[in-house]
Amino acid sequence: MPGKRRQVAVSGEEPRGDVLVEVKDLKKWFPVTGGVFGRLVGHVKAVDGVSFYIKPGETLGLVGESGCGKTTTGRVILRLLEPTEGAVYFEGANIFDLNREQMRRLRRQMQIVFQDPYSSLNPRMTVGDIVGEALEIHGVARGRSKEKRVRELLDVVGLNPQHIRRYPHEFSGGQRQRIGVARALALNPKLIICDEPVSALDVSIQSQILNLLEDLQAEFNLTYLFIAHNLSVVKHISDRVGVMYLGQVVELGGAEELFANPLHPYTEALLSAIPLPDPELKRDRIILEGDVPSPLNPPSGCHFHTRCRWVQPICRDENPPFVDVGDEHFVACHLRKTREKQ
Amino acid sequence: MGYGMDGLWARARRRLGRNRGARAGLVIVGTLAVAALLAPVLAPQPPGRMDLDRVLLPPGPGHPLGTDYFGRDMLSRLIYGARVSLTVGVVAQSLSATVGVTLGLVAGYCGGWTDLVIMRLVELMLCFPDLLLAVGLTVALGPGPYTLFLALGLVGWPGMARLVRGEALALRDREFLEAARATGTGPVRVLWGHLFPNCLSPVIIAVTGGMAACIMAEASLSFLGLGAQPPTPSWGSMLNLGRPYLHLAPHLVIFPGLAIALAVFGFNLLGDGLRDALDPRRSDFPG
Repeated sequence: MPGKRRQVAVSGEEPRGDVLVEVKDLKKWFPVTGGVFGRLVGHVKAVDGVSFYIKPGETLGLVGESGCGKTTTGRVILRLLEPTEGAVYFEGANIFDLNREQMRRLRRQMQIVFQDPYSSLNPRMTVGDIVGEALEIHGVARGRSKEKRVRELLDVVGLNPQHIRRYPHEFSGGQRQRIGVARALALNPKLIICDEPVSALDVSIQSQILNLLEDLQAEFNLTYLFIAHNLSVVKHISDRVGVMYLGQVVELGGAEELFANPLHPYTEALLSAIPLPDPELKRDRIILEGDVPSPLNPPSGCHFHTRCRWVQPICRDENPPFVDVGDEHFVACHLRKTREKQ
Repeated sequence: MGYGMDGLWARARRRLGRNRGARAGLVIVGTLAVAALLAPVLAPQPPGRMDLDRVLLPPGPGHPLGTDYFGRDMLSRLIYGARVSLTVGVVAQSLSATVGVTLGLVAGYCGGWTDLVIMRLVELMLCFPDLLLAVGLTVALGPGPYTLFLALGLVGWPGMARLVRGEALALRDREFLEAARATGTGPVRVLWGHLFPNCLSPVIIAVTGGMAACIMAEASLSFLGLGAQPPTPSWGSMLNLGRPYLHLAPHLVIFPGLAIALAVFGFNLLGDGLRDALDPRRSDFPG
């Protein structure tokens, strides 16, 4: 949107100083129109008040089932979508206050790796052009120096630099994902949003890409927002994990802590669904009744109350606050205290 | 663009050489283009020279394709006629391709109101029968080569816009476009550098097919007396002039007709070959 400045309502105080990215009360509602005249009939509340922060050099995992708004959150943080409300601070500056040119410059700092390695690479461009385009656009390198840099990048992600003139279809899924990682790395970004980067790959290839991402993080001091629905993958790679349900983050905490000591009933149910590698082992699975309610018309109060087995009257009326219960473990549940006592 | 485009075209050239149909198309179109360019050198006589002692001669020595009602050499007139036909094809198609591709890309990529307005305009244009629109424009503006370009160009763009919009619509949500925007690529570069190359195959088919259609349309308009004006020879007007002598001297109709058919055939072959050659997903080896 050329030059369009959006005034956003931000609740709360100034952005924190020690974080790379802070997301504050972010909302993204998609209008739904109907009828001949395109009358507005409602909103899909894909992201409905999300707040979290990412510290430099860490990996924040974001999990949730499909349709819970993880991907939309990632897209809005990169400003590929404009938010309905809320703010995203990158190194202290609200990115929604930036003009077009400032935003273009900021894009050097934040990049994305996509889920589908088949649709995320332009089939008409060579690997050299795909990885090198960003260098050209930002005036970092062109011609020979661009080619040299692209070869370096291919080498870094474990591809043969001699394949620079090949087209994406000449590579396997895992190799294509490496090309996507090389493209994201080209401008030396600080933040990379990994949008389900291994979900489309074979299990054997998944671990290769995960290891690559971890190696790159150590080498280039990268910060990741790692969006996924595979809990084991997220537990493996993340320092901290946020759990999303129906457009909201219901629980967020250190990976170890969250997996060992889930406080939100949804997290509990989710964790109990992780398959155990030992068929002899039995455990109590928490089976959630019913389906996820429609984001078009989310339930009142706590969004999870329709499926929660501990539900109380207060859950239907009031949206629970997202509070720190200590040690940067946040949870949005009315019953957190009462259940602790039990 | 960097080496990617060079690679694309180098590869396309190689593959075009291997495809027999495309090679034939290239030879036909190339021959016609050379004939048009070198008409003054190649033609045995000036196309307008009359010889009233030798009218309606059948093909034979001195006049390989015979003479017409005014004793003009048919071969010379056909060679000069290629100029009109090819120029009309190229200019009118360039015009309709430029307008059609631009509007189609914008409509498909931007969507919303832009799309709505552009597509309603396209539908409005498509309501008129092609030839009738061209005839109407020619009558309104007066016949002449520029009118011909404009009329045929205006007839062609809505189809092109619709085709390109469909392609763009299918591609607009692909993640590589999002990736381009995420790296800070401007909208113009996203449209022309990323979206357009992926719509190229159908555009090439449409342009080469459109060339053939333009040559036909030019012939039709000239046949109706609305195209090239005498004494400029064009294939369509030659057909028109030869029509009254169909029984007496059929070569007056046969040769211009064959020339039109050959040109149309050549462009169609070339179009198919180019489509195959420009698609990097196709393997380099036939079969």
